[in-house]
This record gives sequence, structure tokens and C-alpha cells, in this order.
Amino acid sequence: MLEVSRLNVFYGTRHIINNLSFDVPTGHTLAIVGATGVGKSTLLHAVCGLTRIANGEIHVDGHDVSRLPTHKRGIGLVSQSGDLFPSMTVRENIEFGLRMKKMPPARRQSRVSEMLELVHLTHLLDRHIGDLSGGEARRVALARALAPEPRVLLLDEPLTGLDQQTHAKLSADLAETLKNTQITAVLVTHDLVDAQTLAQKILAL
Amino acid sequence: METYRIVMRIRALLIVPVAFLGIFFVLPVIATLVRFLRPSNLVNTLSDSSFVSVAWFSLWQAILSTIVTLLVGLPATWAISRYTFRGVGIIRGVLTAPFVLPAVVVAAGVLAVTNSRGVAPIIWAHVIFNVSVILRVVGPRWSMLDHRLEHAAASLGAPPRHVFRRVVWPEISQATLNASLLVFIYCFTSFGVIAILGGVTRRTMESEIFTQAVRLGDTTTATSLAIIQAVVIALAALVARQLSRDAPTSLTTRLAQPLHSRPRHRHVVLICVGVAVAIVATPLVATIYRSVTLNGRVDLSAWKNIASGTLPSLNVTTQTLIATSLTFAIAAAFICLPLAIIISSLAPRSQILNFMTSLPFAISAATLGIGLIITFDTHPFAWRSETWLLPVVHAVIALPLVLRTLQPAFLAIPERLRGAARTLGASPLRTWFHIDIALTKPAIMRATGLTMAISLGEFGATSFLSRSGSTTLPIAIAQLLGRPGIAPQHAGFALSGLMIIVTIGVMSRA
Repeated sequence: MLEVSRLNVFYGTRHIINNLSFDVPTGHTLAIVGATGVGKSTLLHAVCGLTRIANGEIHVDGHDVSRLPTHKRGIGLVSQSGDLFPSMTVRENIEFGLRMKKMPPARRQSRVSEMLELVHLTHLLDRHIGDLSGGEARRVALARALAPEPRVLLLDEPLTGLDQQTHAKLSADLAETLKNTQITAVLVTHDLVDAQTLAQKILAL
Repeated sequence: METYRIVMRIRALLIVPVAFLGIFFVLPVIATLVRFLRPSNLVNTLSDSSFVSVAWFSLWQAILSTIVTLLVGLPATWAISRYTFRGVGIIRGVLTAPFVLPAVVVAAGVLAVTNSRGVAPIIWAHVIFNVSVILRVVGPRWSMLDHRLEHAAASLGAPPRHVFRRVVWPEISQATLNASLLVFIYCFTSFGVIAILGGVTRRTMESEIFTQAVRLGDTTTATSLAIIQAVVIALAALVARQLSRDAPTSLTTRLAQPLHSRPRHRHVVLICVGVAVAIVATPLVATIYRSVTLNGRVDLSAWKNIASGTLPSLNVTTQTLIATSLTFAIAAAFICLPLAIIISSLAPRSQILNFMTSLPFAISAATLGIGLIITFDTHPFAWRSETWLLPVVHAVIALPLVLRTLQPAFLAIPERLRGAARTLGASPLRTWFHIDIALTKPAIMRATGLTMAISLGEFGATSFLSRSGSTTLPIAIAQLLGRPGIAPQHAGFALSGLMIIVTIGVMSRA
């Protein structure tokens, strides 16, 4: 379960997030919608620790993580651009979080296969990142974020900028993945249809 | 907050490069100034006509060298940056390679062609070196200039010279000024070239500093000369800054990728590139030619002597020379690279560190050499005769250029990739290793090659600190070419040929 209470974030002198509170029950997805520039992405960055918060609390499964560094929070993030590591292959990208957890190679390998099956990309195992299409890159980013089994998954406009066909397919696959993994997730989107399809609850900023 | 503590703990590593530069650069230079800077010494030096003529020669040859370099370099840069044609990659390689070649080797090449010493050979050697500076600094700007702007100006009735003055020049003027300043500084502080091609009559302030400090033991005069030299460099930097302030500024957006097209006027491109290649490559080819011929006949005796280890009139073997130079080069890379990586990854935008690491550009190698001799002369810091001091000094000299190779690579890493690594559980240290180091590996390899090439070719500071047992290849070449007789000259050319091969080998692997 993710609980955010009285969160405040400043960007310089600008008050971006003002006393915001919400919670997401375990296995549920919360969609956050709002116009461009209202601080949707900043909110996700604050939750995972990439942006410093002025005050407030963030609890994951009852533990206060708001003072922990990003890598110790157990919160995964899929950004709009995917942010795949360009010097690594698909396999190496997905393995990254597992290596950080010091998972043994055999278990790592099976976890990578499992993740690629989940996002229907088993044939791209050793493909270089530069050779992936936009839709494939988003799927790899999703697989990479899910691989280390984060307690919460943050999705920052994962379907934006895709053509209609890829958007529809990826949206359906994402819904299936969220359902199958039963992960607690926060989805930022400006598309109300996506919000309604993928989330149980919607928060407007 | 734990994140803050981790970041601050890592930032503390910046003390290492600051302390290194402080001990081996700032301290020696300040110690020299404190000990010898007296207004009366400066007045004495400035009123001595022989020093004034040395200063005047240093100045006008540097200005002339800069102008000739621009005349040769800018047209070649235009042709290579704006057009694509067969062999452009090789031509670029030929024109940029001399920058990492030792000054004494380039000078030996010019000597191999001209067989004489004096002003013209000096200017030629300086041009060979510095065409690559123009190409490296101005080239990227020129290649990013949007062709469509020139087409728009031409369609509005502007003749080519107006297109250049109104459209092209505002885009490249800043880079050209920066490159000219660098070329001026390199030529003004020229030492290796003067040691070979200056003969007995032509001396720069840098070579005079060496003569006064090492040969005549007059450190007071040497320091006064070093101060005057530093003041001239500072003035040149101020003039360049003022000119760049007055230079027209560009408001155009740059293209993400350079636009190349096939040249319309092939003969113009051919002439621009051909002249530059002939000027730069002829001496290098002549070096190899002179090393394998004697009195117009093929003679491999110099190479055979090198292979057997004996060098005429030197009491050091070739194997020892090569081993010493390579050991210093590897050690310099081991010292310089970690320092440059620490600065580039932890504080790439720090103004103070940028200023500190730019100082070795302005303070010449000879000035640093004097400072090191003076500072590290007394117990417990009597290091001036220590062999390890040489790679340390090479690292100090290489650091500004190595940093300028690494910093853009580190700055180009999108912050979001580091964020992605952290959300996947990577600690700051592992993020740095898996993202920063992994993505900058090509730049690190290039920087390693550059450090080794600079160390292999360093002549100025090494001349001050080198002792028997720590003779490097450039020092041996200068000694051989400075001795009378055919055998030492022949061996000098062969050793220069060897250095050309070794340096290009090191750079091509990087």
C-alpha cells in the first residue's frame, strides 16, 4: 500500500505540490490526471526520491520511506521516454535491477525470460536498444521496472507519443500486466480514457 | 537526509584533484613568485636589450605563426566541415595527428625538409602543430551551421563574401577567436620547436627561461622572464575576451546533426585541403625518408642501431629510452585519468575547478619546471630528482586537455538515466559506475590515449627535471639532433620516425 500525506514540493520559489495526500491500496492502480505543468511528473519523482520534498510523508506498506535514498525505497519508475540504458542490450537492461539486488545468475536469467514473456518480447533478448521501435522500447522499460519486484510501480505517461495501433495494443497489455502482477501502481496520464481503462481510482491535479 | 550525506561523502573526493593541483602546480608557481618576484628584477630584465629582443621575437613569431596557421587552417576546416568527399576521414586524421606528436619530432620533420634553421622553419613547424587546433575548435561549429541560412542570404541577392561576413562569420567568430588564442599561446611558449630549429640566434622566452635556469643557474632572471611571459599570455587572453565580446553574436538555432553535401567547386576544395595536407604531412614523410637514407642512398643503419639498442654519442640504450617513456606515459595516464574523471563526474560545471585546471594552459611548462625545481629542493620535500615526479608533471600538463575531452561526455549523460538506475536499486556509487563510466567509456579511452601521447611528447618541463636514467625519447631526439656529425642526426631522424609510429599507434588504439 502506498500512502502519501501532506506532501509539499517546491521548484525554486514555485510551490509545485501543495499539501497533497492520497493512498493506493495494495494491488490497485491510481491514475493521476491533469493539464501539462501541474506537477504530475514532479509528484512521481518526489514519491520515488528523485526530487527532494519540502515536507510530508510517504509510506510504503506501512514503512516511512520519505527519508530514504531512491535506491532503497523499492519504488520502480517507468518514464515517458523509457530511459533505457543505451550501452546495454535488452537483456542487460532488464538484468540491471536484478544485479543491483545481487541475484544469482541462474535466477536472474529465468527472471529476465519471465519478464520478456510478460511483455511479449522474448525474441528481442539480445537486441541492442537503438534497434527497438518506440512500442518495443516502452515494453522493455516496463519489464525492466517490474523485474526487481518493486513494492510500488510509478508509470509516467507510458503510452504518450505512440501511434494509435501501438497505443491500443500496449494499453491492453499494460492492463493485463498490472492485473497479473497485482502490483500497487500510480499512473500519470493526460488521457482520461487510459485513466479509466487502467486504474481503479482517478485523482485530478 | 541519507541521500544528502551520501552525495556529500562522494563530493569530498574532489579534495584529491584540488590537492594534487595545489601541491604540484599552484604551490610551485606561487613559491617561485614569492621567492623571486621583485620589481627591481623585472626592471633589470626589461632594460636588458638581449631579453627585450628575445621577448620581441617571441611575440612577433607567435603572431605571424597564428596568422599563417589561420590562413592554412581555416580554408581546410571549411572544406572538411562543410563537404563530404572521398578520403575526407584520412585527411582529417592526417591534419589532426600532429597535435599529439612531440614538438621535437615535428621540428625534426621540418629540419629533414629544409636542412636549415631559422624563422621560416619555426613558423612551418608551428603551423603543422596548430592546424589541428583550428580544425578541432572551429570545425564542429562550422559543420553545424545550417546551409539553409546561406541559401536564404544568397536568394536575397547577397554575394558569397557578404554571405560569409553576415551569416557564416557570426557563427564561427567565437570559435575562431578561441582557437587563435590557443594557437598564439602554444607558439608564444614554444620550446621543443625552438630547441631544434632556433639555432643559436632564435630564442623564445620559454627557451631563454630554460637557458637561464638550467644552463646558467640564474633563477632570478628566469623567473622574471616567466612572469613577463605569463603577463603577455594574460593580456592576449584579455584581448581575445574583449574581441569576442565585440564579435557578432548568433541567434540561430543549431542543427542536431551536421549537414554535408558534395562540393560544387571541386577544385577549390581540393586546393584548400591539398595545401594543408602538403604543409602538414611533408615533414612527417621526410622524417621517415631521412631515417632510411644517407647521402641519397637507402641506408638502414640508423634503424639497425636503434634495434640493437646503441645510439651514437648517447649513453642510454634505445630499449631503456622506450621503456622509460612508456612507463612515464602509463603512469601519467594512471594519475591523470582518475583525477579528470573525479572532476568531470562530480563537478563538471564548477567555475573554480575550471579556472584551476585551465591554469596549466597559461603557465608555461618551463615556468612549472622552475617552480618544481625550487619548491621540491629541500628536505622533507626534496623530490626534484625523483623519477616519479616526471609522470606527475606530465599528468599536470595533460589534465586541462584531458578534462576538455571528458567533460562534454559526462555533461551529455541525461540526468534521467541516472534517475532510472537509482529507481532500479543502484546506489550512487553503482549508478556512477554503471551509467557514467559505462557511457563515457569511448571518451575515457580517447583521454587515455591523449594523456599517453602528451606524456610521450612532453619536452618543456621534462627538460628541467630529466636526469640520466630518466631520459625520455623527445629529450634523446633533441640531444641527437643538436650534436654535430652525420651519425647522431641520422639516429635522431630514425628515433623521430619511431616516435611518429608509436604516437600514432597509441592514439589509434584509443
